[in-house]
Amino acid sequence: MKRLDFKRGVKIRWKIITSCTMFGLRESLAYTLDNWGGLLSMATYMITYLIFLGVLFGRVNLIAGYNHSEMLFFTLITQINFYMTYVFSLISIERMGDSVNTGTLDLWLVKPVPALWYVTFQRIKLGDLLFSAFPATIPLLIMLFPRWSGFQMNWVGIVSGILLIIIGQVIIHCFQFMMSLTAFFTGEAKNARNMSLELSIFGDTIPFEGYPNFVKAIGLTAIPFMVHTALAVSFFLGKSTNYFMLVYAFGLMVVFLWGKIVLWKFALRHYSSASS
Amino acid sequence: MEKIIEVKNLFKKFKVPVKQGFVRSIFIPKNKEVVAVDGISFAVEKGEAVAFLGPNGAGKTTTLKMLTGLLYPSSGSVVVLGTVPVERKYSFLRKIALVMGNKSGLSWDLSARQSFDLFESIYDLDHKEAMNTIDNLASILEVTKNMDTPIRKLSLGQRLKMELIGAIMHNPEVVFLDEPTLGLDVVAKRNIREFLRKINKEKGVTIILTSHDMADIEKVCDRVIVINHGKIMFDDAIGKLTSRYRDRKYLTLIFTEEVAEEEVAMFGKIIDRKPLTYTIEVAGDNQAKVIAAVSGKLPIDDIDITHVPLDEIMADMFKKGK
Repeated sequence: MKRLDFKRGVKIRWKIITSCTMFGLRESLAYTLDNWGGLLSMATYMITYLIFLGVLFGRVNLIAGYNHSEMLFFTLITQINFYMTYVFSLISIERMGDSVNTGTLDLWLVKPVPALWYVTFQRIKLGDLLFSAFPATIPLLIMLFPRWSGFQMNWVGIVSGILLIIIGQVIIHCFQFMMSLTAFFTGEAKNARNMSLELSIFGDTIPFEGYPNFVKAIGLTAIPFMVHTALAVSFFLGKSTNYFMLVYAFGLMVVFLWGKIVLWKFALRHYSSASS
Repeated sequence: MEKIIEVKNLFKKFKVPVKQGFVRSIFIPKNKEVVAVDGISFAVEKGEAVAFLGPNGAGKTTTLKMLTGLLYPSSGSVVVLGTVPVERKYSFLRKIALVMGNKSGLSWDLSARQSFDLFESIYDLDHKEAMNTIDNLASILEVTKNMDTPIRKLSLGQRLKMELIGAIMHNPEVVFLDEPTLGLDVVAKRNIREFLRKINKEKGVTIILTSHDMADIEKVCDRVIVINHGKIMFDDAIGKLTSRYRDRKYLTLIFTEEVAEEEVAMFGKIIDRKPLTYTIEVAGDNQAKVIAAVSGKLPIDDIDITHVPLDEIMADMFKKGK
């Protein structure tokens, strides 16, 4: 019986992810002009930032031990992380806060779905990834491509880096999610959500090696902004080889996941549901 | 008959911030407890259509939300379909539906049919059967031609009908409705009431409804639970509620020419006044005498006799309950 329940649980979770992804894609396609607007704003940001990096490295050779090519790679991982956060986490978290605020969460809590899973993945906007994020990153890829052979990478570092991106993403998702649960108590979570996003991407502008130790300590514990980009790039480029950090990051992810589940249950208990 | 809802001594208290000075409210916030539901008990049998009636803030919607598992009771017990709602068991959620007149579960940017695709996956419905059910419901509610229009382009009535289809496309055993006809025009209201009555009578779906529109309640429900200040004031058939006021009748007098108010007031308490028309309240056993007297003394064109409307009965009950 338990085995059957587990199978059904996995099946329904998979269905939610695929259905919500398809649903998000359809929603993205409903606004063609908005997609072009998104692409233009992201492309403009990318080009401005690349010019900024070019100007900076015209005067200095290294920033925190990273040369121009390595900083471009760092920027690529930053962009990938930002888009992943936006597409797989932020939109759903935003919708959760809004639905608590407006009371539409009521209509989802009475549906036979694992509620936490549903609110986590309620909207995966792959359309934004395809129509805005990927095309906007092309200028960066064009600049990186001829420099690729200059990187000192090995397979262990690459696998570790990929694992740290995934682990780091889960951690910052949990962090942002927990901050947004304030909506259940105050009815409003917009600023808490914005703050959690800013804190989560705090480590996305300076490489891991550039931070003092006490900032690293904070970024690898209570405010986990250091894992998904800074630490991951350090492993990718072979600058960090202490594999204990991988185990530590995994442990941190488990703690944050546990915290998310506990706080969600607590929030549901105190849900007062917006008045009708 | 099988009891599918059992509520015993149910309480729900909310903490509400006390109004204080700006600085105090930030650093030393104070809360007071407000009792929204105050020890109510009732049971609902399978296939019943029950209405919760009460003024704003009476505790109707809070009760409905506890029945659907959205809110945790402060104390007391709720059992719906053999389970405790807040446990949110799959088997329970699969058998219920919630429709809220002022909240939308459909995506604003997509058509209703596209939203129903998502619900089909969530409820794990057979595609062919789901399509049949949806087409059938759309035909009854007369929205077949709007199925592929984005929700944002539908009228309020059409949107609400789509909400209703989305909520019951999985053939629930119990449907909870909170103000389902809010803001709708007369035709849309009638359509939805007839539809609810139909699924209640033909499919045996249990209906629990809250509404401020007495016609919703009269047309859809057989039983009414009147709640005021979180307590149950009346729980019985609608007929029994109106029979309490059977000793009073309303006479609508239509005149052929203008008549002074004092002349009409001699025959009963004036309830309403329009050009050439007055509505007066008279004692039931006195109505024949009043009609004869009015017909003899005033230029009467027509007289309409009605029972005291449910709205008036409720207003009277709530006034007495204060």
